[in-house]
Amino acid sequence: MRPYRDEAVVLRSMRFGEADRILHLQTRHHGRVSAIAKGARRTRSRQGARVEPLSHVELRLRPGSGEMQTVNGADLLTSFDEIRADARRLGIALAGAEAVLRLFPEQAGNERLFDGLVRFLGVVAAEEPREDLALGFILKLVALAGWAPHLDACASCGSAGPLTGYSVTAGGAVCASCGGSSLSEAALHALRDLVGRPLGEAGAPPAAALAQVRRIVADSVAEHSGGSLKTLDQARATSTASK
Amino acid sequence: MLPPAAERLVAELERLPGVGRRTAQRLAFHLLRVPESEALNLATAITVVRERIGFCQECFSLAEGDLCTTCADPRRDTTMICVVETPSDVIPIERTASYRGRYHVLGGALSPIDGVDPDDLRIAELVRRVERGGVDEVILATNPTMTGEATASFVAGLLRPHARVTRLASGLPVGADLEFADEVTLGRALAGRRDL
Repeated sequence: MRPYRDEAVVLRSMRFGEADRILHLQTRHHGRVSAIAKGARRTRSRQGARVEPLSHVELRLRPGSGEMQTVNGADLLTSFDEIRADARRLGIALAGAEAVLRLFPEQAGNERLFDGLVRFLGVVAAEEPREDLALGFILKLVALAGWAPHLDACASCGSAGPLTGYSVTAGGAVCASCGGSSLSEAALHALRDLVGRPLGEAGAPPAAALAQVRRIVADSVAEHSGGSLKTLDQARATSTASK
Repeated sequence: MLPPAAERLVAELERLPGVGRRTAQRLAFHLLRVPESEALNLATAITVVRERIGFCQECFSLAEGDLCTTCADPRRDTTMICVVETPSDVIPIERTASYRGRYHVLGGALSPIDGVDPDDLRIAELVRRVERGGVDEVILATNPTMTGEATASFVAGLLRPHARVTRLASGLPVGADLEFADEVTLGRALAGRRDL
């Protein structure tokens, strides 16, 4: 494969060797890409600052013989440095980035995902940092991955309700006879808002409803990706500390 | 191709950071070529360093004994603590010859995605050092990376009630041309500009 250019968001960065970094990238046209940025940790490197996690960049990538590609050059489109400089914003953005890592490992372009990720980072950088921004984004990712939660009728038996529980295995809200974990009216309303409305436009749910939504989001990602989100607690902790 | 003992030496050298197969072979041939005493000196130095070097009980830098050379030096300024991620970060700060205080080595940086939480670092020990009193300023010299900045921000929140907390400045390397600076570093240099 020949060298190519693609837009990317750096989801994760790890030290490698003496002065290199391994990057996990979400690219616009090639999906998930792992690449090595050689010398990125040296002070004279101009790439180092451009490939920090959460940066939106245009990269020149050279495929290797294995899965690991090499970063030949990087142009910064948006640094999102204001997110990295603020622990509250960072916690929220990292939760979204980790969800992308877990739910979309495919090496295939997904422009809706890529545009959504860049928009999410823009909202986190601009809006008052709130945990429900991360929860709303992750719910939209779950839906984009093909597991949109059913919230208008019982996901198990199809009855109109009332919907008083939530079942991740059934794929949405369920009625009392179908069981599920408890779901308040406020939490159901918050779920509909977070899934249905544009990012940042849903109102902040009450604390009790937020806790139920958080549990549903964590369980949904664990069910569909086979691993739990490590950063969700951080998003909650930093968001709470901001109040 | 090589005798088994030499092949084993090459394999061990190849595990060192920045050393590939060819460099490992070159080093192995060098060790076979030099006088035996010289090669054995290297082997002894490696054995001794593994036996004697541990962590300083005060700052968690490398130490031969209970305290590192910095903490054991009575001429160092005890009112200042410079916080770094790893013991190797102490060396470039010492090379500046501009800092005469003491250090605290955290042992890494916060990274929830990698499972590194505050309990995994020596943050509680730092807070206890500062709470004991006698510290006027804590300089946060963690790396200017996402994890380093997050760690600095977290530690600053814990220490601010007890001491003045400062952060290393970000900016342009001395001797460099402005036209070669990257956008993020130059942006931070502008944000942190000072009056003349």
